[in-house]
Amino acid sequence: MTASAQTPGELASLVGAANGGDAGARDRLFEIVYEELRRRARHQLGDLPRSTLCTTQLVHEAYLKLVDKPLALTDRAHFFRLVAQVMRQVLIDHLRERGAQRRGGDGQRVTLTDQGVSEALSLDLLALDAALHELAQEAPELADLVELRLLAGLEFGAIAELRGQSERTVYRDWRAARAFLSLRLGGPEAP
Amino acid sequence: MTARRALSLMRELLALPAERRQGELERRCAGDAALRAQVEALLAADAAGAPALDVPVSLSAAPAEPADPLPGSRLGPFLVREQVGRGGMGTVYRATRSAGDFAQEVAIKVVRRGLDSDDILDRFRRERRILAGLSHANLARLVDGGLCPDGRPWFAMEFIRGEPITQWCDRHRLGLNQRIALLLQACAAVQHAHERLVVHRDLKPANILVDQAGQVRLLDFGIARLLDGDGDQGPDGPPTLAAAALLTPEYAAPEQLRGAPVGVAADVYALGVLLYELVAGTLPFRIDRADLARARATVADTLPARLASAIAADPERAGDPGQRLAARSTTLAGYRRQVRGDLERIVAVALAGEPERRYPTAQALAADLRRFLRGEPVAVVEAGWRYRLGKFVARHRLPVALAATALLALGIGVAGMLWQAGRVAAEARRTVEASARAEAVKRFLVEALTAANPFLNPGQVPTVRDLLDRAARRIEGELGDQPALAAELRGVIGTSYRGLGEMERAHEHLGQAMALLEGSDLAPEVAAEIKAEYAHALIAGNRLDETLALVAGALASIDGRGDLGGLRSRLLLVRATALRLSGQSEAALAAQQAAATAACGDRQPPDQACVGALIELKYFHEAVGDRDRALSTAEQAWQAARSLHGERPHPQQVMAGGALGDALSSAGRSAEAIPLLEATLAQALAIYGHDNFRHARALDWLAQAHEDAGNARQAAELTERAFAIGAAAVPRNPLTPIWLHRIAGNWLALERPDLARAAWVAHRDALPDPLPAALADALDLLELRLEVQERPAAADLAPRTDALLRRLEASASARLASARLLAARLALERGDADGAGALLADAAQAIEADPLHPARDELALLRARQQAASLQPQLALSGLDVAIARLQAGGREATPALARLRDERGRLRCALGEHADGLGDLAAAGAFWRDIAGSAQAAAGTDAAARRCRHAAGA
Repeated sequence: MTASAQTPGELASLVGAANGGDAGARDRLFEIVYEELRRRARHQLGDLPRSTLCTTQLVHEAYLKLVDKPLALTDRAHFFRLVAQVMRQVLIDHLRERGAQRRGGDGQRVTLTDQGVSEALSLDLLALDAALHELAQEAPELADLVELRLLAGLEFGAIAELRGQSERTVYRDWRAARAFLSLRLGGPEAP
Repeated sequence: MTARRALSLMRELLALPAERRQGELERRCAGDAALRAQVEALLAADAAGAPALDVPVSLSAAPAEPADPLPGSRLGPFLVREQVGRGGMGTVYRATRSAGDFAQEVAIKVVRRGLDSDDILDRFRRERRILAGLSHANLARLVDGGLCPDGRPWFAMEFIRGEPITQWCDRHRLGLNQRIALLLQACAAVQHAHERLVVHRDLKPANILVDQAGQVRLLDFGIARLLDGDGDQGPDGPPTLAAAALLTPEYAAPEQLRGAPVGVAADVYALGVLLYELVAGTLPFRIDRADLARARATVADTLPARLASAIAADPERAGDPGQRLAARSTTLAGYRRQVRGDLERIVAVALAGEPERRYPTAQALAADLRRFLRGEPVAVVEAGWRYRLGKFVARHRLPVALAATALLALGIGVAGMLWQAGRVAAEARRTVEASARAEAVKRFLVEALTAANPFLNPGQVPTVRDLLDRAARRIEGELGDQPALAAELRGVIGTSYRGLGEMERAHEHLGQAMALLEGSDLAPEVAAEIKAEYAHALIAGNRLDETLALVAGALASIDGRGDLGGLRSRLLLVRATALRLSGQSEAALAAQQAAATAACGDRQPPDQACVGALIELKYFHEAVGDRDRALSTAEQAWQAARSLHGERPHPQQVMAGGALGDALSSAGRSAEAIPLLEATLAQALAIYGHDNFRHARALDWLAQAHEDAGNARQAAELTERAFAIGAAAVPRNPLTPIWLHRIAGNWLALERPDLARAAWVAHRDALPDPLPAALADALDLLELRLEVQERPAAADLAPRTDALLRRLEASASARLASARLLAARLALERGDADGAGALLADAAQAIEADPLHPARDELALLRARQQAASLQPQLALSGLDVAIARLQAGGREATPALARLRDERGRLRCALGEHADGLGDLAAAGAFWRDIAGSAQAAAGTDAAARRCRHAAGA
């Protein structure tokens, strides 16, 4: 089963159904988005040594590909949450695959690039995944926010709209979540 | 579980303004150390930021440096050449713009991703004009700004080829003075920006370069404001991300580390850190960047090591002390000599933890650094007159040494003047660089001082007044074209005249100084000093509203500047005095407590300003009726004056003696007060001379003590003398109504309406006009009492008394009880015992609440009379017994109060058939009226009663 088998119109109705609590629709949707994102990620990274996978771009393209007409707000929120979760999975899978290829282990530190910012920012994605799990236990709404921001790559304004909150509130919650993650990832000076 | 609560509390705290977070944290975590630790860790993590989390996750196939796409590309009109630096804020590139034949070279700073680009651009557009207006030789100009293709903002500024100021100084082995001179350039640039309302907020050596021409150039001015919004968003907006990125903890002011609002004072602080580093080669505080919470505590709670020892501190980071001294072209001994004293003071003020204790401007810091370089007294306070005198002597060693003997002989007034003179010289030299004027000042002062030298003018030792007169004459002739200097010197001379009690002359000179202040270029603290003195002189002239307005202006002009060597406390004293004289006792007390706090601080031993403020504070406690605190404050002042001046006669000894005597007396301890005040009077006469207002004041204290002791005649006579001297020295001074009241009141107590009337006639016109309401009431009541004694049967007295009583009731006057007594007395005269009883009951409430109330004896007398009239003679008799026993036990044998009570009891005893006892009372009373009071009228009344008693006894 591939994403290409679906027409955009069917996808929109899947999103609606999943949002309405249809577990089957949800699973189906996850598969479609997963396939699409992974295919694009593979394509983007390719085998070129210096290429970069940029979630924001990926998600944006996937959205355009999968959804041809604007979703209703609640559906859109649902969709992006789903995308974020998928993205998380895609990243982890990719990392594991590559780790396995190279050294046969995970936990490898991967450089995250910030396009020209001086410090080479690196983040242990597996540690981030674990920290996100922990955050989801303590404050699920903050974990949701982190996924939308870090994994789906949404701007704060867009997140605010999706969550029906003010941008200021979103940013405040983001700071709290970021502080939590930053501590779990090795303290305030986390590189 | 705790993590959940910590997160939840963290979110709440973030919703609060930054300055309230700590308090709320403490409140919410009381007793829960684990929760608190977690939230603090979260707050610290938030403050530190987490750049890796500020961008959406992306994944690169290879952990390699990404290719930088900017070099070779265009940003606005500029061609980006190469990357030249990286920092927390972003990356810096060199770029050029071709304009005809020449290429403009700029540094382009590309802001890091994660800072809100749209806001930054908006602010840039809004503030572009302000930033373009920053044009100063020591500032790198902001040229342009825009957005990169990827959305990151960029700013272009002048490209400076330079080296951080600290490195440059070390490499060129600059001595301390040269280093400070370079820092002055930075101060000038900072001041320029501040005047255009732009604060830097991240001053540090990396931003303060010295270019190839040896010129200091400041980078990045205005950038902080663009990145952080500078308050144009709500307090809980998202500035923290940017603020954390911008902050360089080693140079950040405590309020910056706390996340509190940041202003000019933060830049002054950073300049202070830089000064410290340039001088000592090390930072004032060791900051652990990983632990900002501890950095906050360190900066807030500890003092930096003194410069003298800091040169050897921290060798691991700052290098071997020998090298550091070599880089400063000095030796350890030379270094220490240079930094001790003034430079330490300047650093301490610049690095003060509280913004309001720092130099208010970069300019003020620079001014002190310039004074330091010239060897003049610095303006930072803790510098008393001794310190300034030391400075003055250092600069004028020879003439001062010659004059020293004479000055010591002349004592106090001249010491104060010399201090002022030193300051005048310094200020004059600071404000006007022209050497001609500096010379004029120096000559002026040195000549005025050496003229006092008996060796130069044998056989002629001028008095302080001669010296002042001479100086005053010289101002006209020599300083007509230098208004600022003339204003200062007039201020000095006026102040000195005031110190001598010559209020007219003080007023004249201070008034001229005030006129010269208009449009002069005097520093605000010097102008405020003159205003303080003039305001004080206005009080003596009873111009209270003018005084208050003047003081308010002067205080505002030195706001946030510390006590400035007693200036603030003096201004507060003048305010307090004016408030008290206008009847606002509580406000006055508060003002004076502020003055004493400002003056005394925790200085040990106390200085003159502190003694003066304590002396005054005593009177303000008294004015709100707090006799206990008045007495303890007076004792404190007296002790402080003794510890400061020892046995030497000094105006402050006189003032402190007066205050303590007065307090003792009103606490009912007049037996101790009178000898103290007699000694004080002798000292005042010796210091000030007979015709001086202070002599009058000393007479006044002693008179009051005698009145409290019941010695009415001494009180009246001493006060007569005080009035004659005091009103001549200071016409219409605010004490005159009190003096008149005391004179006439005591004569009335002595049953001498003739003398009371004479005083009334003689002095009524010498009182201030209008009178403060409280004093006007007191004098109205006094006049009625006088008329009652003169013509007790007059029909108009009762209605007039009632009218006054109603007025006093309406204003809840302190005189109300006395007025009720007078009304009761009139009621008894006309046989209205019930009406009198009601009035007495009302009066008793107020009088009996105060065991030392002056109307206590009068109440006892009238109550006995009322009881007798109500046919309760035994009750009346026992009341009189109690009152008389109390006076006798207090040693008040020869007082009108006792005479009146015994007179009354004698009559009552006679009426009750106890003729022998009654006659004894009447004889004692009669002797007092005849021999002490000299009241024929009272003596005749008593004698008549005795005759009737003897007649009844015989019958």
